[in-house]
Amino acid sequence: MITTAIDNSVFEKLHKTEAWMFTNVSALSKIDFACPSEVDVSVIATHDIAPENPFVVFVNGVFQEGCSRIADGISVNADTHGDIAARGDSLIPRGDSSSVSITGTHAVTVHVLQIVTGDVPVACFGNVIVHAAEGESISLAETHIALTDQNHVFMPCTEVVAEQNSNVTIVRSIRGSKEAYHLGSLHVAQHESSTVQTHTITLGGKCVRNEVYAYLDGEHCESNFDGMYMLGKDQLVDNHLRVEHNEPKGNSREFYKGVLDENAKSVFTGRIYVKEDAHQTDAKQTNQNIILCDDASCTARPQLEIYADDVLCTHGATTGEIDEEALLYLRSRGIPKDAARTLLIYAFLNESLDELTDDGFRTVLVDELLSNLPGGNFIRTLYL
Amino acid sequence: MTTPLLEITNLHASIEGKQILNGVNLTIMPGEVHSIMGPNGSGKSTLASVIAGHEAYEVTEGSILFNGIDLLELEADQRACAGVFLAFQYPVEIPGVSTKFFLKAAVNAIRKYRGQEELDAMDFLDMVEEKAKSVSLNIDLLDRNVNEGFSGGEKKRAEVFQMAMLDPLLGVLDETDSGLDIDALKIVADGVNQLRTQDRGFVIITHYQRLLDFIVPDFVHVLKDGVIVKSGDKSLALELEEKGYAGIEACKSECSCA
Amino acid sequence: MNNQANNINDPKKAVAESLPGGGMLLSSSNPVEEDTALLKETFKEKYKWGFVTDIEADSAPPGLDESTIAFISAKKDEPEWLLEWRLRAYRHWLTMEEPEWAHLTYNKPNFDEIIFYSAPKSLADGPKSLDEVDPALLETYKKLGIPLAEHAALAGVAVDAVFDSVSVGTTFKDKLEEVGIIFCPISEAVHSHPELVKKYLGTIVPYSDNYYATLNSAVFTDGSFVYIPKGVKCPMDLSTYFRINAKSTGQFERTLIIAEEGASVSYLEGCTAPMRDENQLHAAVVELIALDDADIKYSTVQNWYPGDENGVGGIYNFVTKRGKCQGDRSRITWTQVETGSAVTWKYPSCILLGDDSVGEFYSVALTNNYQQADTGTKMIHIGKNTKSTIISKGISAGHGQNIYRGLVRIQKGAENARNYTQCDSMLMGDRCGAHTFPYIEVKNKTAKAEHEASTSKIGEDQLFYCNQRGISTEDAINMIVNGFCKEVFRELPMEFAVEARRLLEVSLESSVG
Repeated sequence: MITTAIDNSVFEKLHKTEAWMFTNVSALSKIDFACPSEVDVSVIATHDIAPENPFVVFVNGVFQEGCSRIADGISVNADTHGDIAARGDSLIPRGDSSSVSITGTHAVTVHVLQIVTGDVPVACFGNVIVHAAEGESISLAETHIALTDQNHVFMPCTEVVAEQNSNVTIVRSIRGSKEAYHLGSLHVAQHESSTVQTHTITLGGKCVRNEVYAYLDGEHCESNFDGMYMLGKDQLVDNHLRVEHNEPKGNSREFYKGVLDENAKSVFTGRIYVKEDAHQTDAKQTNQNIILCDDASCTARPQLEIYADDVLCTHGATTGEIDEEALLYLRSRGIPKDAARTLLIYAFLNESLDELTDDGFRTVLVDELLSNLPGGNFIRTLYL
Repeated sequence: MTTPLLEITNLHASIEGKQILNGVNLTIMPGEVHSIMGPNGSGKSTLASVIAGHEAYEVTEGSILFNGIDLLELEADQRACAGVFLAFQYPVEIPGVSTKFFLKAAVNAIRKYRGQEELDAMDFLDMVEEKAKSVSLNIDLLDRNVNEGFSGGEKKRAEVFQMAMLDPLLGVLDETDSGLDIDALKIVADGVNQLRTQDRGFVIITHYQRLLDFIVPDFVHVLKDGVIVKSGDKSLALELEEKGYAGIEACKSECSCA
Repeated sequence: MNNQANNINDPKKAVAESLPGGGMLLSSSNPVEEDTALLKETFKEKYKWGFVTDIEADSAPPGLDESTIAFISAKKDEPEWLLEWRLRAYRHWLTMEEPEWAHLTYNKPNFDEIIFYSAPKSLADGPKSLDEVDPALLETYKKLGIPLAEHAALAGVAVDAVFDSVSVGTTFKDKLEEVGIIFCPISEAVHSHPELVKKYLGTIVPYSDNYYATLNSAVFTDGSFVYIPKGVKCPMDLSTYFRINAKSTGQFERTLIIAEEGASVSYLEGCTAPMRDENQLHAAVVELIALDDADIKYSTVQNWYPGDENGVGGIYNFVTKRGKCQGDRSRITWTQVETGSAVTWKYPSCILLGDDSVGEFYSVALTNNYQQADTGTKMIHIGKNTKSTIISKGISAGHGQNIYRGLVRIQKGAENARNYTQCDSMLMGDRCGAHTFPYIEVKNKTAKAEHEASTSKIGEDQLFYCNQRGISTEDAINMIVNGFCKEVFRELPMEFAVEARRLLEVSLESSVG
């Protein structure tokens, strides 16, 4: 059951590849990762956001049966993973660890909590396999929290199969320590008329890579991949997506937005691929950034690769300061400049969180966002 | 004997395998205005598209003669050159192509077909100005791309304006009245009335009797399930207004019309 | 109306007679097949610049080594420093590998088979006045629509004509000299203005820049040199017309344009080549320098032979073009219409160093049959208040692959920098591809970068609407494509815009049917 330490030499040259050219994780190749050892489970309770919902807890990749609430259709298995991840060209190492498998229809959101902790650097994996059979509906919330200030590296891999007419929603939040590495991936295979939504929210971590590989293998697939990030000192987020339209009449949206303070850095690489004859594809890709400080920077690579002519594909990227007009408007109503700025930044980011339907999870994320946001306490005073 | 302007015989047409027209018969003599009314999905717009030569529709049976010419043999642009004009229910937008430029191309293509000299820029602009006035169309609109940024009413007026420019023998108006308020309707109707001559025929497709108060038709036909179930004079439109299409269906068996 | 009445008895004939090309309707039982056959038959004439001029040439033996470079340098009687520079480039080139990051598939050129220098024998004795140029050459340019005799020349355009590796002649040279403008072949400038060439050559595109630029630095043969002195607005458009004629020959021209403070110039470039079933290499380098308040407008209509409908033959167009807005308030505008070449690899770029400088890139690239184009730009914002605009229109037809690749980099000190990028693709047919690979890097909080891209095709409903107004499908397609490209065409000088429109029509012809 114990995850073994990994061969960390793979991290040394990742940034020499086109896919990782803006994200250098070579430092990881010099760290001696320990095997995760016994852990303190007392912290789990504070992160049990939805006490009524199914709850699956891992600490350093080890399943915590005593703290979990397993429902029908959820199982935890040793050393397994799905086969969707193998379709893509992700360079993140994969490892055998215990995995959560979720099937069947669930009335409420299943909460998977992954905690990485310990006073020596730990490298571990976390595999989740979601399989929504025909007509089923699954909502999953993944909370990834690194505690303590070590150079942990956590590599969660979630694989989703959404069969005909099924519906899958995943909210993945990366929170906690600003020292840890998070190299995560989501692999989604969709069949006819299925709907998949993912929200990737990055508020913690030193270096966070969020990969999404989606395969729209049936007609009339609906796919929404959203992301939001609010980063500060020494933080980097690299959102890396590839959405493959392999069949006609698919509809996909990639919408990533974020705010960068101090010397934070964001990278966005999105590739929409439309296969020959995947006609009437409607694909849209957007990345919006606000930079608050000259030391912050962002890079956007919204890419289209299209081999069918009857398609509607657009992408957009904007980078800039907050809207001066809006700022002026707020100030003309008597709101002080700093407060007005904070309000606008909050509004910009909160748009993403508003999409989340599950109140409990949203509240926690709004709270963490406000903690990260310079001047966030002012916003709290506005909540009635 | 005068050749009919339009002679539709036993017309059957389908789209994507779905049969829409099931044997339409209609004869229009020069100078006549025929109104085609009918409930949603009865095949009115299909009939207009088939006359204009939309490739998505397949004619499975029957014929259309235009001035004696077999219209079905012609491509859509050849039909337009021959004198068939369709005022679209939903005029498309063509980004990057200015309306004036577009119209000049159309006017000259048609003139060339008729063996007339192509218009030079001055004559063309004079003609634009004159015809635009007839439908109270703001001439500045014509510097915009085709139908781009036009309001609903402007689009419809622009269609009638184009009809005036292209000087067709047959004008087919596909629900040109939809979405127009009463003032705009009057302007459009007025534009059409100015174009009525003893040579030119019209097919006015509409849902409502309202338009026919202003463009008074010689004949009114009711289209239902792809066939003309009843024909009459303008009083039929009033009757429809009163009884609705359901009332017409009731009478179908009694009076062997169409 | 009488026309129609007379033709009532034979409606088909009535239409056929009055429509261009309508005769097909009469003779054929299957008009569509006939149509395709006709298109195929006429295809050979589509590229009407594909003729070969029969002229005796003085060439280097195929292949490349240091002696080839010495041969070229000797032919041009170059000073020692230039030969050394070439050899430095060559030695560096030997250490480099051909880049593979572009989204292109092609057989790499075999440098052992390429002839790196070829010149008409009649020009071997050095530059002559236009009156003495071989009539066969003058005839060639006349056939290409570029009369070189000044009395017949296009009014208001001075032309430098480059034939394979050498300049044939330059028009209006004297008139330009009156206002201090230097416009001559670069091989001549090396002798007449060595201080300027030495000062600027390789400063924008260093000899070590990239594989093909480095190759060019080693073997460049001719190209144009332009110098606009302080405060001078060039009174006419300057133009270079490049022609590849000899078989197996590569063309490696190098162009250098310097606009001093307050100067302005509009420069046009055109190119064609004979139809051959081999792939010929064209690897050019263009360097532009704009000092304070200077303005350089560089327009290209690229019409190299694109290969046949099966993708055989055609030019490899691997070009490095870069401009530096060195001075404050300077401006460089690249406008390109790329309809030719089998493979294009080209990113005209701007380094926006001066405060308030402006970089612009307007591009139409069309790929039909088996053509591939990986093209775009780089805008590097360094100075304050720098602005860049990128408008790229890609059209793919047949099996063509059209790639936009562009970098917008806003450096930390580029306060208030602005970029706007719009990148639209149009696909015609379902075996072609349109790809967009932008790179946007922003390191300044007051900077704004906006990127928009869209993909569309010509809608059936748009074609029907045009048809319904009497406009043929082919004309409708041309009209819609022209509308699509409008924002770029309006950046071109008038005659070039007309030429570009016509080229687009010709290039699209075989895709309609």
